[in-house]
Amino acid sequence: MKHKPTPAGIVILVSGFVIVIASFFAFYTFKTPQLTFGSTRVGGTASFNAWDKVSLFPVSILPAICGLLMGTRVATLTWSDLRIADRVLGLAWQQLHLVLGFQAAIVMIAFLIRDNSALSFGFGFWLMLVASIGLAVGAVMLNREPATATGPAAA
Amino acid sequence: MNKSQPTTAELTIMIAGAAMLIGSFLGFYEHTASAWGTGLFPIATLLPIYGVVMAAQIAVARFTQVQLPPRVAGFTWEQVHAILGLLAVILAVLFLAVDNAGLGAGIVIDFLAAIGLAVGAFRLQQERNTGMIG
Repeated sequence: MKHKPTPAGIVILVSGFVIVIASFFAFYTFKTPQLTFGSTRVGGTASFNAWDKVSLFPVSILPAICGLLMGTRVATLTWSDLRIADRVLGLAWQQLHLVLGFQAAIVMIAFLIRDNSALSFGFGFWLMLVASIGLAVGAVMLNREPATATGPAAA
Repeated sequence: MNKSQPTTAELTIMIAGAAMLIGSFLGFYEHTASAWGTGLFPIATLLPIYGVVMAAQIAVARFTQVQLPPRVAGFTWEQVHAILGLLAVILAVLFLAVDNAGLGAGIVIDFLAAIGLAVGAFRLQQERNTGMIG
């Protein structure tokens, strides 16, 4: 192990892992009364994960991509010798974490507010929502930690 | 800075922001509502919000006496423009890729406007020598 992850790093790693895994769980569920005609059953429950077109894919996986990028950055900084540029387009990684974390949270909150018509939120959606808030909180924590734990400071 | 003469980058951002707002009121896909209608609000509405924030900041700083803070949450305004411009392009591309019955005028205009915002934002970095590019 190269470094011990900081509290902010742990929050981002866990949230990033959870949001990616949760994207494969039910984002929306659809329930209809189940009817039986002889041996044929019609209706019941169907579920769609974030990778399904019903969930507005690929917009629905944007928070998971944000989480994956944030988690990967923290993991490489913590456990590998891989060198990643300290700044991307003039932005320090602390700032990029803030942008990605808040973008993930904003998109998930927008999905929460969206009129889903006949669809209900599934377990995966709620996990993604909580994890996206975790990413935003982790990014804020990261900005308050000493620069040695997070790479060079913001400009 | 001359208060009355916007630069090329500033003009690009203001025009693209206005186009983004107009496009958001047109149908995104065939037989669907606009970015403000049921099913797409408030996810697709993020596009015009990003565009309006960028255009409004430029307009307020250029045409009014209002003194905006130099930084927002640690970001300079030039950084905010670059970030919102890029996010607008990413969101517009994702909405273009959504399974649909056919693209409407709304998403096409918003996609083009998002490119305009990003181009304007990066031109702004060059005009103000922020060091973000090159």
